[in-house]
Amino acid sequence: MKHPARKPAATMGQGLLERFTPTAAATFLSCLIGSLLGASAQGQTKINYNDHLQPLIEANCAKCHNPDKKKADLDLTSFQGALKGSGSGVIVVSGNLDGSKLWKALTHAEEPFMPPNRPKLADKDLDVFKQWILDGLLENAGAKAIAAAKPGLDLALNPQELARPEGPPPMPKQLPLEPVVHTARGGAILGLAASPWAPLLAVAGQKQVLLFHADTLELLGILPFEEGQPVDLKFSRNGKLLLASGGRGARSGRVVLWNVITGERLMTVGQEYDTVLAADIRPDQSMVALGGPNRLVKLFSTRTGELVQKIKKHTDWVTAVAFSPNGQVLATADRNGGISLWDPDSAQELFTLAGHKGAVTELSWRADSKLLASASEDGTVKLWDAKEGRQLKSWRAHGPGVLSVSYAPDGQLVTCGRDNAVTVWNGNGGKVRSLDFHGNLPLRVAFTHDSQRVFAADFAGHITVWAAVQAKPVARFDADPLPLAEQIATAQNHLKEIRSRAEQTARQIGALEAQQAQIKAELETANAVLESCRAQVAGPTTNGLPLSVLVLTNATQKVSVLAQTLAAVQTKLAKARREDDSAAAIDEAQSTLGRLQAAQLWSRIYKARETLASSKGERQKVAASLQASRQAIIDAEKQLDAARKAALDAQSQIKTAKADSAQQQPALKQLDAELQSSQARLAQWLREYQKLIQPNGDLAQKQSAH
Amino acid sequence: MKMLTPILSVFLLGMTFCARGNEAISELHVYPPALRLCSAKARQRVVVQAMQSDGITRELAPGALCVLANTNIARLANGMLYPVANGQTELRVSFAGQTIVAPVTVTNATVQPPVSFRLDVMPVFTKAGCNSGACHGTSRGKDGFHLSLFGFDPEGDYFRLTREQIGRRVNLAIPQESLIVQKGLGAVQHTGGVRFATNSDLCQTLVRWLAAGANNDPTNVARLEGIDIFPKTAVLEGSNVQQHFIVQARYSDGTERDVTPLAVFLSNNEIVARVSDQGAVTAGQRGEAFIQARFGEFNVGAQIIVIPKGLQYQWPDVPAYNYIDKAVYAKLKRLRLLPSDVCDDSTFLRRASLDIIGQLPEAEAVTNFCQDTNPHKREHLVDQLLDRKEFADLWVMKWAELLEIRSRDNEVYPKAVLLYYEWLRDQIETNVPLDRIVQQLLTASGSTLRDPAANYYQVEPDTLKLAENTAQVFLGMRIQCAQCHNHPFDRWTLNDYYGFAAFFAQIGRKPGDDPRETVIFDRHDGEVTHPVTKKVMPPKFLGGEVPKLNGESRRAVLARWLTAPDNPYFARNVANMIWAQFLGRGIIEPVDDVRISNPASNPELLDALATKLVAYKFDFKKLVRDICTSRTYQLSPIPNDTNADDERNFSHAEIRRIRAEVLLDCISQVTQTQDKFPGLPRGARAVDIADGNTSTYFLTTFGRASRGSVCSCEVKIDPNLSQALHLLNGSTVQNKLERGGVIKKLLKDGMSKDAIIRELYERCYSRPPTPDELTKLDGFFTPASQPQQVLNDVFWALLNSKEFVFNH
Repeated sequence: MKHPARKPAATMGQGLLERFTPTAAATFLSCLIGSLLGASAQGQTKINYNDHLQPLIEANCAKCHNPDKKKADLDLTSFQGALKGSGSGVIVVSGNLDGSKLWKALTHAEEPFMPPNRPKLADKDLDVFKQWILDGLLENAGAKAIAAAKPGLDLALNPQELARPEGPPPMPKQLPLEPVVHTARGGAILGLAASPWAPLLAVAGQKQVLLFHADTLELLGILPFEEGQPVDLKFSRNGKLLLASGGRGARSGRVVLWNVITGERLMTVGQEYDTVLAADIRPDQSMVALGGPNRLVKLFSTRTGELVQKIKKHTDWVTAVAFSPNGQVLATADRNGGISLWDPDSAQELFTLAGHKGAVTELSWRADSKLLASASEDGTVKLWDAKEGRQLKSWRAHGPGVLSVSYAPDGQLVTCGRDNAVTVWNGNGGKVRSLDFHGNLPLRVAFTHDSQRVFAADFAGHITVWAAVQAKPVARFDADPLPLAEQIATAQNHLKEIRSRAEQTARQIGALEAQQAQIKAELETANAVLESCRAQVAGPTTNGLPLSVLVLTNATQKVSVLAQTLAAVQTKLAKARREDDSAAAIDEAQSTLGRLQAAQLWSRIYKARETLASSKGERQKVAASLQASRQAIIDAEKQLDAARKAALDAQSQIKTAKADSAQQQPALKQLDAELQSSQARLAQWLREYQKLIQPNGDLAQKQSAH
Repeated sequence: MKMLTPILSVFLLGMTFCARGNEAISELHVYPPALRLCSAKARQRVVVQAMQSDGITRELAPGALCVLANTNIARLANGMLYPVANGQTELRVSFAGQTIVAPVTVTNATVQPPVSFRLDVMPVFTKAGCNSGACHGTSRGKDGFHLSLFGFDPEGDYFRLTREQIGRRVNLAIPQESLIVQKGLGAVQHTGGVRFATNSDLCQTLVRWLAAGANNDPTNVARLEGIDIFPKTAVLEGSNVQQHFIVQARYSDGTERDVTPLAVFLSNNEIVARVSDQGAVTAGQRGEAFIQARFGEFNVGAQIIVIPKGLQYQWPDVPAYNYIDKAVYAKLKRLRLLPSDVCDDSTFLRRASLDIIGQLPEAEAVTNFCQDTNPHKREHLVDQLLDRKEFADLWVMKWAELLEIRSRDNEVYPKAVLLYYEWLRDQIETNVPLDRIVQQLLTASGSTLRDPAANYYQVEPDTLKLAENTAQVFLGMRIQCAQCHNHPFDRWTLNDYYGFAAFFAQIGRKPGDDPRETVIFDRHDGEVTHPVTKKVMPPKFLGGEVPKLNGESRRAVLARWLTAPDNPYFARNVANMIWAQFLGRGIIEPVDDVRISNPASNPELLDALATKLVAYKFDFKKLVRDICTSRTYQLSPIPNDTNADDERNFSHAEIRRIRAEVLLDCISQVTQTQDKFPGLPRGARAVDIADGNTSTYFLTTFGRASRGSVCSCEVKIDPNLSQALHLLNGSTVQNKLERGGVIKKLLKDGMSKDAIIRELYERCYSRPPTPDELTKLDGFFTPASQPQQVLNDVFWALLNSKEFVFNH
C-alpha cells in the first residue's frame, strides 16, 4: 500500500530536477526578472508552492491534510490552506525556519513528527521545504515573496530606546550588615539579580537578601527575610526597589519590597500557603505579580496591597513571572513548559507561547521589551517575539537542562545549566564564549548594568564573577557572612597582631639607630686618630717613624672598617624604615574595625528602626483600636445617655402620673365628701319623706297608685 | 569469687525457670548465631530462643542468661550488644542446664562511618513508607514528588531529592528546615501526614545526612548482598505471647548490620500473629502466620505457629505409608492437628479414577473393588489406572493449558495448533521425561508446522512476555512486577527481570513456504536494555549467575540450567503442580505464584517430592503413584474436631468440583452418550480437545481454561448458580438422558427396579444406595406411575446431586 503512494514523489522529485537543469534560458530569464524586481539575485529559480511543494505534499501529507479530512484543521493541499495554518496557529513563517512549525515537524525537531510513524523525508525533499520557507513562501514562479520577518533585524537592540532614569544610580546608602543567620554550610542560592542602572548585585541567602557592590564586591547590606527562604529577586525598573519572593515550602509564601537606598521595608504582599516561586513588580510600580505551586498568578495593587487579579491558566507550578521593561506585558511560565503573555491591566491573555517540552526555569526580557528569552529543563533557550507571540529562535544551550537565562542590557544573553556550564550568547543565539566554571551546579546567572560583568550563583552557595569578555573568572566569594560580632573580634585580633608587630619593628629600628650612633662616634674617634697619625707622619721626622707608619695604616684600616659597618647599618635601617608599613596597616585595621563597629551599631539602629516601624505600625493599630474602643465608649455613653433620658422620661411620666394621682386624691376626697353629703342628703330626704307619709296615709296611697 | 557470683546467680535463675516450665528444653538458640559489630555506631539485638521437647518455643530475656567473656570488647545492655574495642570474644548463654556460645567480633570500634545515602538514608524512605506503592513510590509519584518503589533506583532518587526541584526538597544550609524533613514530621501540609518524630532515628539519620552535605555515595560503597531473619520459626503457646525477630543485613564489603529497626515487617495473618514495626510478634488466635521482612531489595520470611495454652493433644498411632505421610504428619504434629480417617473403598475408587484417568469407574468395578480382600488392592488400582491411556490425556490437557495451545487469527493457525497438540500428546504418551519436554520446547527451532515444538515461540511473540510465561509455567514465578519496579513481595529486581528476558532477545521469526507457517531461529543478535540504567543486560538466570555463552544459543543455555536436577525451582514447581492436581491444593498455592511472601505450607514435603521427582529422572508417573498411594491422599473429607478449619496442611481430603471437561465426559459416560466437538470425531472426549478456542456452552459455564494466559487461575472450579441452573434446566443433562436411553436398555435387559437403582448409584456415585435412600425412593413408585419415568427421574436427580458433581 505504502510503496505506490511514495513512488510519485520520487518521480516528481526527479522530474523537478530534470526540468531545472536543461532550461538554462528560463533560469536566466527568471534571474533577470528577479534582479529587475530587486529580489536577491542568486541566479537560481526560487522554490514555489505550485511547482515544487505541491507534489511533495500530495505524496506525503495530503492523505490527512486535505480539504475533506483536514486533520488538525490543516489543509496543506492549497497554498492558502498552508498559509492559514492549523488549529494551533500558523505553521510557516516567511524566512524563519525556527518559527515554522511545519519545518520542526518535518525535521522531527518537535512533536508531532511528520509524516506520522514514518522516517523523515529524504534530505533533498526537506531542502525543498527549507528553501521555500527561506525564499519567502512563494505561491508560484511569478509570485512575490512574502516579506520575511527579518529576525536578524529584530534581534538588534536600539540603545536609544532604553531610557535611563533621572538622577544618580540608586545605591544603598547605609544598610545593616548584620546577618540574620550564618550557617556552617552554604545552601543553594536560588535568587540573583543585578540592578539595571547601578553596580549593585542582590543575592538570596538564607532568610536574608545580601547586596554587593558589583565592582568592588563589597558587602553593602543585608536585608532580613524572616519569612523563610527567598527564591526570586527582582529590581524595579528604576533600580530603586528590590523585591524578594519566597517563604517556607508547603507552608507560607510572601513577597517583600524594600527601598534599595535606605533599606526600608516598604510592604509585604501575598498570603500564600506555599512558597512564592516567582514574582515581579511592574515598572510603573503599580502592581506586583506572583506565582507558585498553587498554579495561580496573582496580581496585587501596591497602592492598596489588595489582590486585583487572579489568573487561572497554568497547569503546573508557576515558575517564572516577569513584566516587560515597558510595563505593557506580563510573561508567566510553568513547570509544564507553558508560557503565557498577559495584558497586566485586564489580565487578558495575549499569547500562549508553546514550544518547551520541559519545565520553564526562568524568563528574561530584553531591555527594549521586544524579545523574551525563556530557559527550560528541556535543554533549550527560546527567544520569543512579544508583539507577534511567536518563536524566533530556539537552541540547545545546556543539554540536560537550562536553569537560568538573563539578558544583558546590550542584548547579549548569559545562561547556565545542568551540564555545569555558564555560557554567554549573542542576540542571535550564537555562542560567544563559555565561562570557566568550577563550582557545583550553577543555578542563577546575571549580567551587570553595564553588561561588563557576569555573576553566577551555585548549589553550594558560592558566587563566581567574570568579566564578560574573558572566560577566566575574576573572583569567587560566598554569600554567607559571619555575624558582625565575630567579624569584629577577628578585626580586633588582627589589629592587636599588627600593633605588636609594629612595636617589634619600632624596637628594631631603635636598636639600629643606637648602633648607628655608636658606630658614628667610633668612626669620628678613629678619624681623629687617623688625622693625628697623618699629622705625625707628615710632620718632622722623629724617631720611630716606621711605627708611625704602622699606626697610620692601622688607623686607616679601622676607619675603613667602621665606615663599612656604618654603611651596612644604615642600609639595614633604611630597609627597616622602608618596610615599616605598620602605621598604614594599623590605620587600615583600625578603619576596618571602626567600619565594622559602625556597621554593628548601624545594624542595631536599623533593627531598632524596623522594630520601631513595625511597632509604629503596631502603635497605629493599637491607636486605631483605642480610637475604636473610645468610639465604642462614646457610643455606649450615648446609649447610656439615651437610656438615662428614657429613664428620666419614665420617671417624669411616673411623676406626672403620681402628680396626677396626687391631684386626683383631693378630688376623690371631694367626691367622697360629695358622695357622703349626697347620701346624707338622701337619708335626710328619706327621713323627711317618712315623716311625710306617716301622718298622711292618703298621700301615700296616692303615691302608690301612681 | 566476684566473677563467679553473676554466673552462679544466672545458674540459679536458670534453675528456677526450668522448674517452672513443664517441658524439658531440647534446644537453645542465640540469634544471630555469630555477632559482628562493624562500626562505632553498630548495635545488635540479641534474641535467645529455647525450644521445648514438645516443639513449643519460648523467647528468653537475654539479660540474665548471657555473659560476655570479655566486657572490654563489647557490652550488653537491655538485650543490645554495643562495641567497646576491636577484638574477639564470645557470648555464653546458659539456661536449664544447656549452654550455647556465640562468637562476638568487633571491628572498627572507634570508626564513625559517614551517613551513606544508599545504606542509611534510602532505608528511611522505605521504613517511613514514603516510597510505598500508595505514596511517592507510584510510577508517577504523589503530589509532584516521585521516589522509586521501595527504593530500587537510588541514583534516580538521589537526583529527585537533591537536584530535581533545586532549593525545594533539601536545604543544606539549614538541614532541619528541609522540606523532606518538614513533610515527614508533618510540620507542614503533607498528604501522607506524620511519618516520623523529630527525635526518631529516622529523622536524625536524614538530618545528619543533610547536614553533612547530602552527598551521594562513592561508587565503591558497599552493596547490600542479602538479609536474614532470626529466628526462622516460632511455635508460640497461648495468645499474647511475644517473640522478637531480628533482621541481619550482609554487605559486599563483608560487614554485617542489625537492620531490624529499618526493616519493614508484614504479617500475612494478623489474627494469628501481629507484628510491630520493630519486629516484635504477638500471638493471637490459634493458627499459622507468615512474617515477612523487607529491607532494601530483599524479602525474607519466618513462620509462626500459635497454639492454645495448655492444649491436650495425643498423636494417634497412624501409619505412614510413605515419605509423604511422614512429612505431612510432622507438620500436623506441630500444629496439634489430627488427620482424618482413611476414606472407604468406594470413595477411594471414585476419587482415584477421576483424578488419574478423568472417568468414573464402571458399576461392576465398584462391586469387585469393594469385595476384593487383597490388602494392596488400592495400590494395584492406582497402578492399573496409571497404565490407562486416559492418564496421558489428562496431562496433555494440563500442559496444553500451560502452553496456551489455541489458535489465533492470522497468528497461530489451527493446523499449527493441531500439530503442536499432537506433538505434546506424543511426548506424554511415550512417557518422555518432563525435563526433556521442556528442553525441547525452549530450544525449539524451525518451522511451526514441521517442528511443532517451535510453536512455543509463535504462541507468544513478545520477548518480555515469553520470559514471564517461561518463569510462570516452568518455575512457578510471577515476575511481571519486576518489569517496571523491583518486586514488592519477592526478591526479583529489574536486573533479574531484564537479565532473564535477555535469554529470549535473539529469537528470530520469518515466514515459511506455507502461509500458515513461521520459522523460528536464533538471530544471534538483539539485546534487552534496562529501562532505568539504559544498559544492555547480559542474560542472567533467575536468582542465578550470568552464564558464559561461548557463542551458544541463549535458549539452549537457559534450557540446560532450567531443567538441571539442581535447579532450585523447576523440580519443586513441577512436583507442586502434580501434587495440586491430586490434593486439590498446592503446597504452594496458587501453584504458579512462588514467592517469599507466599511460602510453602509444608516445605519439607515439597522438598521431598522434588527430590523424588529428580531421582525418578522426571518420570512424573512415578511421583503420581507415590502421591496416590500415600495415606494422606486416601484421607476422608470428613473432618475431626481438630482439623475442621485446616485448609493448608492436608489433614483431610478436600472436596473439589470436578473440572469442566471431566464432568462432561463423566455425564456422557454414565448416560452412555457421545459428544461432537468441532474438529474432532464424534465420541471424542472433552479432555481431548486440541484447540483452546474450541468450547461448548457447558464447558465454558463450568470454567474451562480459555488458554488465553498461562495462569493457573484459567481453570475455574468454583461452583456457581449458572452451573447449577444449567445442570437442572439446561439441555446437556436432559438431552443426554433421553438420547442415551440407559433406563430403557436396563429395563429391556429385565433388571428389577432395585437393581437398576443400584446400577445407577454405582455408576454415578461408585457406591450402592443406602437402605435409607432405597426406602425413600420406593415411595415414588406408586401403582399409577410409570417405572421408566420414575427411574429416569431418579437418574436425573443423581446427575444433579452434589455427590455427582464433586470429587470427594
